[in-house]
Amino acid sequence: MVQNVGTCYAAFQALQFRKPLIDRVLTVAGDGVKEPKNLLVRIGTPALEIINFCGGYTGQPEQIVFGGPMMGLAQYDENVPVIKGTSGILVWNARRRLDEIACVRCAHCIDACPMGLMPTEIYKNAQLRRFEPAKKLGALDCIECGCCAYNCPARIPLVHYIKYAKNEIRRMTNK
Amino acid sequence: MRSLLTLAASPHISSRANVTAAMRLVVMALIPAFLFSVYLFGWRVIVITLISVVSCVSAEALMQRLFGKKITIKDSSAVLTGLLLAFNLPPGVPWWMPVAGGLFAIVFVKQLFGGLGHNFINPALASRAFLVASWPSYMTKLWLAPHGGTISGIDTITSATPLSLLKNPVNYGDAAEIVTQLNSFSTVRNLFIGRTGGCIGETSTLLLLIGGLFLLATGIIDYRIVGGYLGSFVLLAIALPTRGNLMFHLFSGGLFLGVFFMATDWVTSPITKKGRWLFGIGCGILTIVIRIWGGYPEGVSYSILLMNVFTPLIDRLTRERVFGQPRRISEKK
Repeated sequence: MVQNVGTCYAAFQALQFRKPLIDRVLTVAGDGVKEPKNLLVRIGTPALEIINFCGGYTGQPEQIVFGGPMMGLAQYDENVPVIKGTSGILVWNARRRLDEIACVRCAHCIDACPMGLMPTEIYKNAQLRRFEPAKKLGALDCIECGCCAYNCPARIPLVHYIKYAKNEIRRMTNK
Repeated sequence: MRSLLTLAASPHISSRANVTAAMRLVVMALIPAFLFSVYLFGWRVIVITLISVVSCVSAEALMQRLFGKKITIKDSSAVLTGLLLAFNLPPGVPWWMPVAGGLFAIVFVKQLFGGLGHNFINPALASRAFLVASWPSYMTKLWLAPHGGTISGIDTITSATPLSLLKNPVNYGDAAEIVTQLNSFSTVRNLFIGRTGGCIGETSTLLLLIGGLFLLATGIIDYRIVGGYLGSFVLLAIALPTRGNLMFHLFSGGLFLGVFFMATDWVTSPITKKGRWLFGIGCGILTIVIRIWGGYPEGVSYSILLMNVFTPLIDRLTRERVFGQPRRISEKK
């Protein structure tokens, strides 16, 4: 378990002042929001309230992400409330997307993976719905940090495929 | 409610790296050697290279059209194949040879196996092997004397490349004398700069080295393959009995072209880290074995092709170790 400043502070508050976890500090950023800010917000506040507090949208938002750019979760709606794990809100207007092409075996994903996995191999197996080999390749050990997909020159959404493999593997084992 | 938001798996940002940019960087890294070749062998080099590139690119477009695929000639991979193929041809070849070579490389080696990312051997090298097997005399005799130098890099002998001289010195006169001359400082210097005969792009060790270091620095090619290849090559060139000294072996033939631009090809080299070491070491061993005991004077192209074929096996035998797992867990059932 990784402890960060926010968790540490919340623990201190709870132990010293018996204050439950009712708020947290988060960062609002991205080109889609007028005045990016660091805020202390109540848990449960809808994203839109926070964005409006930061001056509102600069244009038509294309994507809203809870968390950071590497591991954050894209949200389907602007009214999604902040939860205790929401470390930031990112609002983007235009997203640059290049077409995914076939893997060219450059192995940059393998060099980038901090877990020593072979993302390209897991992705190829996941694509073919071969989840047993994907499991053997350590798909479940993936921490979804995003380094592989960040570096992939073929622009393959590797984390997406690995998450898919993980889901299917867990479904298989729960049966 | 506002318009629909984009949903996508993380990461939501990415590096600027893409295949097309990488291909273009490799082409750029080859430009100095190309320009030097134009200086050495004259305008013919431009014509042969252009024919080769155009045949590769049109073959790619044609095949993709035929297969009803998206035409991706703009990704520069066919341009690079064409350029590398031209680099592997003697400057005196007739104009139709790069056409035949380009068609073979793209149609048979690349597109029939599924296109970019799916070919199991390096298209340019496979095509060179095809041309050597089909028209051996054109591929091994049509050398041109370089501007201000001789084919052999030695003052008096002009008819053979340095490596064929080393292979059969008796065919060209006083064997002992020739070998001494080949190993002399002036010959090695000529070889390093590139003032000697050879294929279009292979002569200048210096310029290929600059291009190769550029690719290493930009992270496009892997130091493990380069290190394994050069390391094993150097060790064996010192340890094994051969007429040429280390410097002669390093700077002659297409070694640097092979090490930096052929062996490091993404598609046809192993993806595991250990595998890349093994691949490079295997290339080095095979190159020196062919040079000393093989039937050909030069072994770079065949050694890389052979190791290309071993790549799937190497990948299977060398899995990465997953963090936190005991060694060899990935092979456990």
